[in-house]
Amino acid sequence: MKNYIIKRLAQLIPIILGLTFLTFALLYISPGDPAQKKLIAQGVATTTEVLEKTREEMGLNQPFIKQYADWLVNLLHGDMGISYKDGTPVAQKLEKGIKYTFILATSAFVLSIIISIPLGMYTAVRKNYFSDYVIQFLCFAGNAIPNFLLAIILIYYFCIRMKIFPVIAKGTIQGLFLPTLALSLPLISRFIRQIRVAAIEQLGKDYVKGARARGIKENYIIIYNVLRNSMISIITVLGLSIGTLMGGSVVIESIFMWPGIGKLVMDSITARDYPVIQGFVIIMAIIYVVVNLVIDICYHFLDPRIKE
Amino acid sequence: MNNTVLSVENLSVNYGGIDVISSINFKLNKGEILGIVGESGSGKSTLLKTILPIDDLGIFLSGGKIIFENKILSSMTIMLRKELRGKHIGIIFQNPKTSFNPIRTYRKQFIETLKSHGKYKKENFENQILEIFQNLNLLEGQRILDSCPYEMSGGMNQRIAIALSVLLEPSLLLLDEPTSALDVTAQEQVIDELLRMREYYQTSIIIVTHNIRVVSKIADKLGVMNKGKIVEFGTAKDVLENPKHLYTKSLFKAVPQIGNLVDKKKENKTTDHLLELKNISKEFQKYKKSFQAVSQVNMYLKPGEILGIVGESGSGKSTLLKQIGGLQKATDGTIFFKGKNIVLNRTKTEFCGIQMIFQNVFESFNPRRKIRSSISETLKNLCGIKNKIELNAKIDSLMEKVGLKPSLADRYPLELSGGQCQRAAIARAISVNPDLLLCDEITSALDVSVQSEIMKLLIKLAKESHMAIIFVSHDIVLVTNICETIMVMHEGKCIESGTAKEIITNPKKDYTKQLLEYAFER
Repeated sequence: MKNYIIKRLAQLIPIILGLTFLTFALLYISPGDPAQKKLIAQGVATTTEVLEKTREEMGLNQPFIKQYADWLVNLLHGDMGISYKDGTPVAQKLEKGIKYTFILATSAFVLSIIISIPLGMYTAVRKNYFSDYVIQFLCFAGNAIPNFLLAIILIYYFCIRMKIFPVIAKGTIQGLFLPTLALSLPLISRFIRQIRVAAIEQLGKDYVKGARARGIKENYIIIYNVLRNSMISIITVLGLSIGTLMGGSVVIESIFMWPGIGKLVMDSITARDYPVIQGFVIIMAIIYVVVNLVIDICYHFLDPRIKE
Repeated sequence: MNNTVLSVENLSVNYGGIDVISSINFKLNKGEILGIVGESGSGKSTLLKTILPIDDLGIFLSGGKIIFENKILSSMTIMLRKELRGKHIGIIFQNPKTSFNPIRTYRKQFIETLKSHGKYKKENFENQILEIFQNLNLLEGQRILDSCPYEMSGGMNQRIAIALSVLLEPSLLLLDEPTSALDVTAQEQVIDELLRMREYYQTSIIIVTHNIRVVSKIADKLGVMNKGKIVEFGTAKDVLENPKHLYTKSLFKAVPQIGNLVDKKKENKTTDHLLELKNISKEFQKYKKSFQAVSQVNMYLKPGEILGIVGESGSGKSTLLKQIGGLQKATDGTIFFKGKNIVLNRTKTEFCGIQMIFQNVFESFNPRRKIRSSISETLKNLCGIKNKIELNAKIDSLMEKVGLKPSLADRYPLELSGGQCQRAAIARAISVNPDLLLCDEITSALDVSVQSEIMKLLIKLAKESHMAIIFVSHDIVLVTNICETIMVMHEGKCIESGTAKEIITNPKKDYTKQLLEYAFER
């Protein structure tokens, strides 16, 4: 097990190096002169001499590989460059946003798991009963409704009519509730359906019949056998949704004014603030890669057959 | 009042409006073993399911009653009957691999079983289990407890399932084809274990099987079922030695016997070998250790020759077949097919030339495609027949060739019986006119009567189209019925080979002698 984790961690190095290279290259070939943009953002007049001087300062006259190497070394030291927009270090900007996005994504993920696992298992066990149909219908609706619409409905009822929660979340605990709900409802709907299908498949297996024949209590069968074996096929979906939550909560963050990374990136894209976008892409890529690693390690714990 | 554990009186069972079982009567005493034999569809498994229902199968009692330990089972509610499962009546199914959760250790599964019946005591759990393992001759108890079912062979799984049922001390154990997925050696061990169970724990056992050899070794009483009725019932010795009913006689007759040995090799004028293996080896890596599944096997086969390979599970016979069939690549050695080395790559014609049929027929067909569509896929890809009318005509003639009605081709695999499906698999394999047919335990899941029909079909096909066959089986008696030459495999090596007569009458290796001994013990 330990060897496997070390091996997988070692494999991460070339992947992440490749990612940084791609990100750097993409921005390198993207149109526009960073020096010019920097100067315009700072409101300095772009004469040829000033431009040339700025290019020299930013190292833009160096060959591509040298620029990449310098940038990579800085990155390893936590220096992601300076924002064109306001001249603050990118790392500092992203750090704050990531913290809030992480809080939002985690709470949405945890809420989804807490609700969808019991409900998914319940609908599998009570397949084709009335309650199953009701939950299935709600899931269908939850899956179909876009989350920005859901967010607006939530704001209308809970903030404007009932006045329970603040309209502007601003990173408070009270403000966390509605964005979490808006993010997790579609996820819950999707998870319930996935868990239901996986559990129904497991319930049809002969080992369940064997366990029943031995008189094993139904809750042991469901929790320790069916749920656990179903998790193997569900865990991929769960894991990948963490990535989506981290990167895809932009809209919800904007609607609720949640000070997460999503809003920051939206602003940076409109302002063509490349160093910030670069930093964001790298962080997201690393999160995806790490989540995938964690999923693979979880597989090992759940299914010992994979070890061979 | 008496020591009757189970009595079934005038039992009739209805399924979908049809009586699948009618007028069944028998009594089972404490410590007695009742064997019930019959072909698939005779209602023997339904009988077990009626005694202890597990799922709602849509069957209901249309008459009679079942009395278990003075309680009328047939009038009990489902909840009350659930209480009996495991603790009072144990049940073990055919496929041993699936009766346990494959990825949960035996220890955990034993504990949850005991907990469910309120019998779990942490302090003496291990001693209790190890004692049972010892009584049932299961060695290395600790290692077993910490392993997962997927790591064990089918035979071991079945034995552990029996050990687990012993733990709950049921007074009745129902076994549904417990040995049909096992090879002779494992069958012997299961039989031995059941006899020990009876000896130590006085358990009454009902064993339902199509394997007459197994019942003959174990049963005190024997019932023969046909079309939902018990046509003959009596002590096992009486029924086996002196069958009265016509059906019983025909059933026993279908059991393969050694006798019609093919003595000499067929006169084969061609000296060219169709297939030649030179030092074929296959190595698998497991936990950084290498494991030699097949080592240094040499053999040759002439056109039209039928070769039998026998050995127990894990002896490497299926692996060897996969090398020949091109499903796995050999780690070492060469395979010459019609004089060309095919170890590294083979052409379409060579793929056509070697076809393979598998043990689990239902899994060898795509369950969501009709038989016709599965066969036409082969014809389209390997023979290049594209015309629909031509395809259908070819499939119809193939179906007839293997003794099936062409209309059956329009069914899904699961709508056919095991025997019919196996015939359809043969039809698919011979559709490309192969020179060599590889049969991997193709009859071991079938009834004896169906088994003999399939064997006859193979012999007929081999004769008609001068096709060579390699027939792999763990049943040495069966192999002697079809093969001219036999090769015995053990631990990946070919330990003995010769004509069928040489092997049967004059086995040289101890292992072959042991295999024959098991086969002849009756």
